[in-house]
Amino acid sequence: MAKEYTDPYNLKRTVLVAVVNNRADLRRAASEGWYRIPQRRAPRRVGADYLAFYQTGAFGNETEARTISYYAAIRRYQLLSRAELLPDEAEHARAEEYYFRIEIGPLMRLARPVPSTTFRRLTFIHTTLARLLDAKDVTELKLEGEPFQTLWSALRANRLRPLPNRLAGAWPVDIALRVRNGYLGIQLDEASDIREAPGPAERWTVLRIPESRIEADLAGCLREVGAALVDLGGSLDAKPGREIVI
Amino acid sequence: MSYQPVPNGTRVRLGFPVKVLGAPGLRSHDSRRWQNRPHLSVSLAYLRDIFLYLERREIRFYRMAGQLAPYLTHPELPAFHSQLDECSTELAAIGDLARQQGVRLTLHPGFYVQLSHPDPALAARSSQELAAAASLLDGMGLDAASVVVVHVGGGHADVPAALDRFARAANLLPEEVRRRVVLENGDRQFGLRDVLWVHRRTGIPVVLDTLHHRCHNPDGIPQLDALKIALATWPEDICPKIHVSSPRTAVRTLYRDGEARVQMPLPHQHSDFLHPFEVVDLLQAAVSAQLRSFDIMLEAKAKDVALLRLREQINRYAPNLARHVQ
Repeated sequence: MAKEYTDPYNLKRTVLVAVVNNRADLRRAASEGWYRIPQRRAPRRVGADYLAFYQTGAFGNETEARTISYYAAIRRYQLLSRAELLPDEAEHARAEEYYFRIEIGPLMRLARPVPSTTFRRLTFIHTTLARLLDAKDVTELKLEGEPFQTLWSALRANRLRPLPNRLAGAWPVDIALRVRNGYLGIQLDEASDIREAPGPAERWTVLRIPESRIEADLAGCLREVGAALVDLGGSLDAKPGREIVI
Repeated sequence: MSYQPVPNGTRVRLGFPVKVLGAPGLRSHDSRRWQNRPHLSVSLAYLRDIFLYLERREIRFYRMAGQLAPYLTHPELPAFHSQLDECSTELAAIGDLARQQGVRLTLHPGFYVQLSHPDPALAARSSQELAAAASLLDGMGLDAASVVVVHVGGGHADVPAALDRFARAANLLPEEVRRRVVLENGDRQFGLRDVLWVHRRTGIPVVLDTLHHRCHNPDGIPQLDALKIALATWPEDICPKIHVSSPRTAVRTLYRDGEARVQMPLPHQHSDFLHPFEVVDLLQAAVSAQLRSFDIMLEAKAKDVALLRLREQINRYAPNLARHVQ
């Protein structure tokens, strides 16, 4: 068994899970030892000891599709323009934009790849190596205190029954609430979102809340959810006997 | 609500050192062992993430980890010595971010930096550490407010001789290093009078540590006077900083080899949070005396959480001070 699995020192290490939706990026990570993240779409947390790769449905029927199967130690971060990063594409419209070039060690395969068993849209996830090695589903990776968990708990505390990880047609939403004429989907946005499919379905109303706002102004977010529920005829799942205070 | 500063009078920025406890998983630096090839660039990526947290909390004063550049000066690990050059772009970018957010950054190397050490080799090594710290701050393009806090070091049974060695060594530092060095009073020796002695010979400003001053104040200098004296040692164009902490007063249970042992608190140990009324008294005195504005590095075990709690407590118990304190 690899040292990572048993060494308590290593288990505390941090991991950034990146979403890979094309083979070229993964091939480059494996053969050239680097991965890129555009600075303007970088998640709030870029720094980590390891980089892991969630391979999306774009990997088709490969066994690694919709799983985290590979990870690697991070060696170094560099800030480079796209033109410096990919000199063959120097004429690209975003050639002047800056990217984090994350230099990594050899790809290692997880003894137990971590699948995504729900349809929840995935963005970057910041977690620990211990969680990555133990997780049975990607939803177990998020550290407590993350915006999703904060909003989820607040909705529950306000006597609502949020549903996780629903698809609004082809559009995955993080949290759904049943309303009189359909569903209110809540999508936790960050500049770094990687969306696999656009467009919400009929009977869905999607409310977008920036993750940063949940930390800064949770009460305001709850008021916005409450207003949307009222507009849509009220929640069907509010537990009886109590007034909803949001 | 965003901080609305008072238009006139004393303004104080609160800061915290190194570790972030208010958000899970935020690391202060790349602490991997040398075998795992840690790198300054990884620390800078962590630092960028911390800055985004500071912005959300409106915290404008932060002490970076002393080991931000791992093994930078380790004599037996030359592979790590060129990290500052390797990261010139990333250092500049993180400095830009600090300026954009108006965050003052400082460093406080460990107690192993002792310019006053009687062993010339160890004193030289300390000079080298300070030069590396100054280069790091220069690489970020930070102004003279980004200082490196040091202690005098050990007394080695002869305090005047140690002070003299410190002053001589400090005066031999290159100007670009010396301009960043500031000196903190100690909690067992090298009280305020001693560090002022050094200041008069070197021009190095004094960082008043209020807890140290309580623990070691042989001249009986009242705290407000000590504060006035320390602030006066700083150049006009650089905002002075001081250290504030409260003594631990609770017993702790330590576990070793399966056995529990109760440890009594010592006055020089930092408590988890700040004593709100002591801090309020200090701030009230400073504001009433119309002292020049200064920054407070809060040395509490609960780090940023202690800072946020103190802000709330100031708002609650001394609302008249709220606009003086960020």
